Amino acid sequence: MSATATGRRALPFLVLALVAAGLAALSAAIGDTRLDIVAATGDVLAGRQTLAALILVELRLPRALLGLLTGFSLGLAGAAMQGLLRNPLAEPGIMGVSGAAALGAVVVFYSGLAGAFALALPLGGMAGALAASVILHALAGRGAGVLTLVLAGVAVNSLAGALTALALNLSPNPYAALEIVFWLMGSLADHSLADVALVLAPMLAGWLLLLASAPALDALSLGEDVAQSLGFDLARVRVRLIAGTALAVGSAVAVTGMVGFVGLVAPHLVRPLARREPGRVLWLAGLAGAILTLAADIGLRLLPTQPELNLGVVTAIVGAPFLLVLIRRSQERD
Amino acid sequence: MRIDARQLSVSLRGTRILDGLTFSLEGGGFVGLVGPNGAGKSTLLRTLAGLAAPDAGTLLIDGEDIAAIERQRLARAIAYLPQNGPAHWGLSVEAVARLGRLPHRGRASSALDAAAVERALEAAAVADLRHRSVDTLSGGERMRALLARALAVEAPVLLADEPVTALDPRHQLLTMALLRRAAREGALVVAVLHDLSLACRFCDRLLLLRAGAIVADGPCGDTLSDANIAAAFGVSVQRGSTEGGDYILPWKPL
Repeated sequence: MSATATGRRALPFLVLALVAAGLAALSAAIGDTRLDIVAATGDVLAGRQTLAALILVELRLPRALLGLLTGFSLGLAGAAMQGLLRNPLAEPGIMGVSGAAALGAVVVFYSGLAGAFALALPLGGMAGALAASVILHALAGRGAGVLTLVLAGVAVNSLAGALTALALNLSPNPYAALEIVFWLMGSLADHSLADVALVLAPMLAGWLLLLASAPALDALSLGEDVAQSLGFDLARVRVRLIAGTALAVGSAVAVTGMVGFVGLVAPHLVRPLARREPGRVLWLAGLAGAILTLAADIGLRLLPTQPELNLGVVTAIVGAPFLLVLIRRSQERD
Repeated sequence: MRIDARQLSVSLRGTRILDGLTFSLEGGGFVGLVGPNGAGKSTLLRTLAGLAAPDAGTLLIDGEDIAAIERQRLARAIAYLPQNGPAHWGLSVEAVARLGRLPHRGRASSALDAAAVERALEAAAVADLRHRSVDTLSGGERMRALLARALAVEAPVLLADEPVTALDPRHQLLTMALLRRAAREGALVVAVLHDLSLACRFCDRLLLLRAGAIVADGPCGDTLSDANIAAAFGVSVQRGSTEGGDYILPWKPL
């Protein structure tokens, strides 16, 4: 391949990566307290314990990094689910994977395991996400159509929601329940770098599993028979993608709560840039997911609402109409 | 490359579709699979492609049990073109053809891949359509784009399920000639065909299937006798001949 062709392919990736990095920096610069980000960074690097350095490391940096990591996880997982199920409406939120992850985290929280060891919460999220993915793929394996799968997602989502509500209902402590309700609404605020470090390893492992499936997803655009005849073991591909989704989405949800629709919108936005090839959509959708998440998180801090809106609320308000448009479009195609 | 089937039986969800087939196929031949709907032609093709597992008998690819061959190696040896296969996401024709190079990933250079894709696009007469999305193509153009994908594998075996059914007369003739040329160059080409005249004219050998069994095997003159056609398809035929060869027209249901 010629150097110019490679360059042309890398261009969207570079642009999106730069935008994501820029938004992460902007996210770190914005907040209730005015912060000279350059001076604060200088303080941190020099090891000076100034107030600015403290705000940057304790508040802003975790928030920006979580936006980047969570957004990338959701966008990437959305693109992988759409590619595997060959369903433009697939997304961790709609398909119930995020809801089940939240349920897993809530169960861990209630059982007191969360206090026992730090990884318990992300593990609970991953277990929930895994359970939902396995149910969905069991259905998808029977050749369910686009809308049947989405209905299955709705069912998984309702069940996870109902069980989460049950847990809240039985909560002996109304304040704990309220805290969980707000956590469920999704937020990047009030996390430490330790939280970031906790989810980093499972997320990266999940990303690797998902990104490594790019050729298989390309082959699947011609259906399962052709993909198999092109040398892919579909059972292994499915396991890899389910595990990758559970790792990435489960750990993201366990920390930030439910941030919906990023996984739906991001792949659709970048598909034209990837020439619609599902394998190439993966990286770009991850970056677009990070951009959307960071932009929404910056936007809600600029809005003059009191208290601050939750991130999941903002992404849902923007994302739900997008889903309606997609459903309309898929109807027109049938 | 050589395929040997011995007492091959295949069932789908408990129903026996193929029952004790024995045959051998060799490189350099263009073999037509003919027979009425439900005779098991597509299942036989899927079995040869390693997509359906036989429940009895043996299937050897160059003397090796097909189940023992690593999937990616099998993918380089056998290209499979399904009937009416899906094409999602509205990929461009060129992108679809490029998928045929996936079995060679990490082995062939990108220049080699590009050259193979180019040959396939030219051969399937879709080079002009390379930037079009497959969603915008007619049924016949789409079939040719998918054929280009199968050709791009450049495998020694090409299995094609009804490759000419959706095509206009000109492209039917061109595609049949293309498949025969591939066979002349050494490949083993097996195609499911419904047009008996085309099958007769272009194939070196026909396998006539009925109810999961081979009822006739050989050159057209032997396999497509009036009696065989009546027994397999339940139709009478009109025959004629011209300098290019014989033709057979299905005439009346019996």
